[in-house]
Amino acid sequence: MTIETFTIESDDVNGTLRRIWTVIEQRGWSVRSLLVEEVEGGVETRVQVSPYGTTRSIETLRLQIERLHNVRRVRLERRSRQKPSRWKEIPHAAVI
Amino acid sequence: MSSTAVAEEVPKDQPRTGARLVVEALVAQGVETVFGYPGGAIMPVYDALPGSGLRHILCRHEQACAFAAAAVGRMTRRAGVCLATSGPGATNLVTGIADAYMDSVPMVAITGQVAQPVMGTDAFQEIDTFGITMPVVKHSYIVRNADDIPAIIAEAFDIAEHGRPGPVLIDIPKDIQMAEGTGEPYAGRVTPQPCLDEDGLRRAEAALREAERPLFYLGGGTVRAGAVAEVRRLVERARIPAVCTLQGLGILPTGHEQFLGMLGMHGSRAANMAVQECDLLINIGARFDDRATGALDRFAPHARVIHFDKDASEISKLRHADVAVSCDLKPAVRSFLPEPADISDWRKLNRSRAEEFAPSYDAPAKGIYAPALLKELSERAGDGFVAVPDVGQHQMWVAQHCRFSRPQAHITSGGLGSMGFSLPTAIGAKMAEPDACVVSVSGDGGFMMNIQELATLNRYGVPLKVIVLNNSHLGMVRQWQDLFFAGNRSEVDLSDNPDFAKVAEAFGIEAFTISEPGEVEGGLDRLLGAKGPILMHVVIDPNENVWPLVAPGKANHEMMEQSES
Repeated sequence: MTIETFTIESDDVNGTLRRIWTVIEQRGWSVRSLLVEEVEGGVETRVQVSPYGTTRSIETLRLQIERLHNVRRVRLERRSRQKPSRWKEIPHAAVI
Repeated sequence: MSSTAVAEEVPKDQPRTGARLVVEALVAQGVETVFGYPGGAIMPVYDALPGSGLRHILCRHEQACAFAAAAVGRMTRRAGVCLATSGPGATNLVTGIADAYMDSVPMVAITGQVAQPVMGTDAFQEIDTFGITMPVVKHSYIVRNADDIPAIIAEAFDIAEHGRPGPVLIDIPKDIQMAEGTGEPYAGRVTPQPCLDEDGLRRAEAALREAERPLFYLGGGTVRAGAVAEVRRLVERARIPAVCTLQGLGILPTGHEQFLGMLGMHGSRAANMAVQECDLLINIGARFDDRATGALDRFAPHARVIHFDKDASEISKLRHADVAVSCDLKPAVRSFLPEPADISDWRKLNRSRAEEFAPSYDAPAKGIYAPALLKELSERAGDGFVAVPDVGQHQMWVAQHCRFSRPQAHITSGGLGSMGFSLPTAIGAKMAEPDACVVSVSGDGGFMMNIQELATLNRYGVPLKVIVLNNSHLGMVRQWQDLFFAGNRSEVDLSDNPDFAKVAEAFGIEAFTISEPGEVEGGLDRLLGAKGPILMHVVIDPNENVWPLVAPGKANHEMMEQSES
């Protein structure tokens, strides 16, 4: 499985975490783990994400998170050396 | 229709209700018109409206409020405002908000919410508006303190209108609307200074010097950035051919000698061939949308790409940019000083193709030929013409055949493709620019989705011109079923439509029907000469298709023409 790790610096505002999570899921990635810590003047979120399919760009996702209003900076901490992605989600249609 | 009660002036330092703070903050932003629909959780704001100086337009569905508000943003680049109650009021706004998000249109949506003590209890008309709208807004707020209202509203406009524009939602619990506050001053921290990517510009100029077949690819970002004049000057100075996206139509006036037309699925053959053959594609404010690119891996296969975009996350999102210029488009385009090599042969080739593949209007259809009608309409309406198509076949005919002198002459739902868009959007556009000749053009399918807005048209006497092109089908779906689903026409028959002229008359709107080619000229005379709102119902051939067409999965040069169908 391809896993990428971000550290996201943001304002301490209600809704920011939910907004970050929404962007990740909306843009074709899955949140695999999440750690939120208060730091001076804000919040630091460490999040591991994994892509659906093989065409997702981690840099595009980084910029899509960074453009959120209350997000100050997004650092890509550990970049997977694997090509995305060997992890397969069961499509909803198949479950139904 | 409007209350005569006048709000008492409250000194600035005196407490006032949150609702009063809302309307005062909107007035402070220069808002003149809000589009809304009242309900339980937004009643305090409606109580504060009379005498506030705001003009309230009561649409007949919240979705229409959102479309009309976004139309203000599309016409003026200033955020339009819509207002709705909690629960169904808010959920009805969602399509309009999403439409604004997809087309990067500035808008501020204000929703009432149930009072804070009952939030989370499944209270009457409670819904998580903040959560439901999160994927389709640029930013959003739940107001927790009445004192924050002026700052939040000011910041919301700032966010909506600056950078890459988009919709902002403000959800205000009812108890906050009723609570008293004075309002904290707004620090104004969002609006950034214009940025300029000098390094990117110099690399772009270098790439252009080496190109033999350069081509401009112009998109809606140019319009949203207010950089149309700069881009026109650039294109003319560089003398490089240009194509536009659906949202970019009008950046170069129709008929401009360097303009090859719209690219993509229903683009012109000249535009698509130029894209496929160019060796340098200079993208200004476009996003490589799938309707523009066709098969992405075969799009502009010989080209290096220069990509100008305010939003850095668009750069290399879908197509790798060899040179990225990520900054404000207006100063960037002004500072871009291209010195292309001799490209006279390339220029001539494209010009001759534009002439060779120009559409013909020699009545290939039975009955009224809609493309010819639309072309004539736009020519007769002149420079004040504003077309607001709905979504479907007629939308593509408008894009292909109408003449546009400026981008605001073509207001269309490009990204989301929302049926029901035209009528309420046209109402908003006409209110934003009362002197324009605004024409709502719908198909029979889309028109039925917001037909109730004929009541708004009548209520305010908006002198809008409405055309309903009625082929008694969901035409675009029918076309695809015929072409790609072995002619299996599944659930596209709308032959039980009402008589649209009679419906309009029931709403108090002047209306008439034409169904023969010989009636077109007189119909347009009557439509364009009307002083008040008017509807022209046009019966057209149900089997007419939109040509040319790039089939799904095909590259743009693999266009289907009518003769190949």
